[in-house]
Amino acid sequence: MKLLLPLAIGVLFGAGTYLMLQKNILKLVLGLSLIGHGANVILISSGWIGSGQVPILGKEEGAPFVDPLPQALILTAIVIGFAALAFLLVLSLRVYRDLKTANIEEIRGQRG
Amino acid sequence: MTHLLVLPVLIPLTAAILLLLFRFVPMARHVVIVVAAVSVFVVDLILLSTIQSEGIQTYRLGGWPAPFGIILVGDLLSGIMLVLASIISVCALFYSFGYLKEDGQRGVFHPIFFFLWSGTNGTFLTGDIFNLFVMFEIMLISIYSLLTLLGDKKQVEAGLKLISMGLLSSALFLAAVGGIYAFAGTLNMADLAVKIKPHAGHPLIAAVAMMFIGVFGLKAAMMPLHFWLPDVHSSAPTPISAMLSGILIKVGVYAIIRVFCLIFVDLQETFQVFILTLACVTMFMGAMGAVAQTDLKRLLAYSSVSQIGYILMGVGFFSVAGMGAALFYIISHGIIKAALFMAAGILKKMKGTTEMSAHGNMIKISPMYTLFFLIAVAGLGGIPPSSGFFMKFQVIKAGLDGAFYAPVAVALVVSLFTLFYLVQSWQKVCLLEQKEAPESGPSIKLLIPVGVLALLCLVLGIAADPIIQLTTAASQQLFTPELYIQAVLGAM
Amino acid sequence: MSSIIFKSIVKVVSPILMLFSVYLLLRGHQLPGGGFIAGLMTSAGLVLIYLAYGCERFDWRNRSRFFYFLFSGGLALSFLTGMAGLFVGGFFLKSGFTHMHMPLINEDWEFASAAIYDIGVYLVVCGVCVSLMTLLGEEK
Repeated sequence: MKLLLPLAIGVLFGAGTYLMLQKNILKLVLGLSLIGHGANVILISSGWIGSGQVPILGKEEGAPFVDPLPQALILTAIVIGFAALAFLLVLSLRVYRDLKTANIEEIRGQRG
Repeated sequence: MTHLLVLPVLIPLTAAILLLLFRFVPMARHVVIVVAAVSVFVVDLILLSTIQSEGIQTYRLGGWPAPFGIILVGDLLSGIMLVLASIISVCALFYSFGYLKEDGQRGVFHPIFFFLWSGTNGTFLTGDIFNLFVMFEIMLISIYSLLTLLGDKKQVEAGLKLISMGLLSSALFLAAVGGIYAFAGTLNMADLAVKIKPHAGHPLIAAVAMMFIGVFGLKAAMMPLHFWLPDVHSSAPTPISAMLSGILIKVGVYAIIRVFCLIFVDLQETFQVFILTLACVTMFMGAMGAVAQTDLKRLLAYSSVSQIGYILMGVGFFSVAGMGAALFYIISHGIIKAALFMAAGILKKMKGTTEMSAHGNMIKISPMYTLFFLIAVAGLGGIPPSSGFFMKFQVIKAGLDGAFYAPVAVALVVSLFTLFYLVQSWQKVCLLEQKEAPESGPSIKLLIPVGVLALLCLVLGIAADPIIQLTTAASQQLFTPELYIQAVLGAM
Repeated sequence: MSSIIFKSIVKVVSPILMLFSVYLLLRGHQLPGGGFIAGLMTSAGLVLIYLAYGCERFDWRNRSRFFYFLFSGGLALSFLTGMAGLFVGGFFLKSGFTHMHMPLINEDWEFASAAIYDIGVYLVVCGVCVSLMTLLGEEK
């Protein structure tokens, strides 16, 4: 159980990186979103404890519980990631319509 | 309780929302833009003078006290950055009226511009590491949309690059915040400084510091992470290019300064060689890139990379003199580079390209333009009456004082290259004969902001003393982080 | 996509989704829920309608101005809640709450200013999602 979160983070980052290295622009978008989710899992794991009790409400004094702050933080991070990703999607659609290609190699301009 | 500190964030936000609502009423929009721009400028000046006379200011958002709620902190560094941001933003706004043609473009441009301004001001004011992330994202998302607003193919391509980098860097930022929160259990920067102090040698802290350098270095276009900048800065609409090179790459430097002078104070020596080496490489490679360019805006973009190297070098000395020099460099370079980009934009308006071979003979077409351009070139090249001389002189002097001879040597060599490519570009655009004369000279609406910025560059050079005192005071404040911590946590 | 089965399922599912989203919006202050999730849920219902019926029932494209004002109005509402905190509570974003006795059902309900903020967020998310959907869904 202790290994679950690190493994999930590893898989998310690995898969995201793999997708980002592909030539299709949509795979780039998906890869970036997976990496973003990996970062979110890192953030939520910073407040995680083994037993995973629900925060604060209905707890007797001194009982351990999961830190609620990272949960609020990733909510913000998810919203921001959602906005950026939506913009990226619209933009890649725009690229596809303008240049009639979804291949990143062909999109890249004439100069480095 | 004064609300002065929250106003630089609130006024642009109000303006942006009003502009969204009044999108189809041009008159109302103009009134909102003028009132908001002027009032932010005035508020920033008042704020700076308040901080100077009364010390570090704090503001509790939502009324929650320091380590629990989000807190806004205004110290001298924030004050200086705010004033610089408002000078460049006001000029860019004025310029945008001459630059953007139809009302349709402006109706989208201006609200997002004010969101950008609000996010930038928020970045400078926030005292909370996660809020810094949020403000960064507000800023970045605004830049994405401003960059791709006109829908040029080059802009869309640059936008794709920028957004990919932005998403990656925000993932890294989140991971770093997660690491530091797991370690210290707080997000307030002053509280973090207190909690991390006893564990400075812990490997996790060094790893997080390295991640922060990566994230902020990417925003500041530090060398291995600079590759997005030339495309983005050269293809953006000119008012945005001026904002990007003038203030937004300095946001990355600001964040590096803030993090290393507050949270990771004890790691300064560990990272010094690293930062200085990267600064030298950035400086040198940027200049090399600039020499090879034939497009004026692209040349200026590479030159921004090179100049960021100087600023990082000043920061990397980690001495009062070096930091003061870096701050003066930030102010001076921001103003000069904004002027240069706006000058390049005028060329773009005249002939539709910034390719230098297409232009020439500007000295006959518009002597004023030639003069302003020359002042800005002299400024960035570091020729005495302009502020550029003092910015380079101070950085080099701080390096000699600290006995960093190798970086100083690199800086001197690179400054020669800087002078070379700038004078060459000025000569190509202004002096060389060109058969095809443009239909009309530069419009006066576009010339005014360039002139104002060029004049400011001269004033900064002639009356450099008060500004140098100010930046030195700010730098002294940065090297006594106890003041900041006490202002934030002492107000509990 | 617009098979008759899908169409008839959407007829049942999307009103339930939207009702549920209002429920999420209102309980958001104390329990899991809130403006963002509720907004996404409503948009999911609208997306289903869009997928099933396209433009035949509801002319999405020509209502873009309505959705524009939906999200800018929502933004203004959230912002005004923050400003009210500044003028009434003394700090920007300061929140407050009050208890009110409901006459018919004879219960005490809690009204928090954060709920108004959440409604603003809800409107923004709805407006943005629908604008985005019509933008991405344009056939070309």
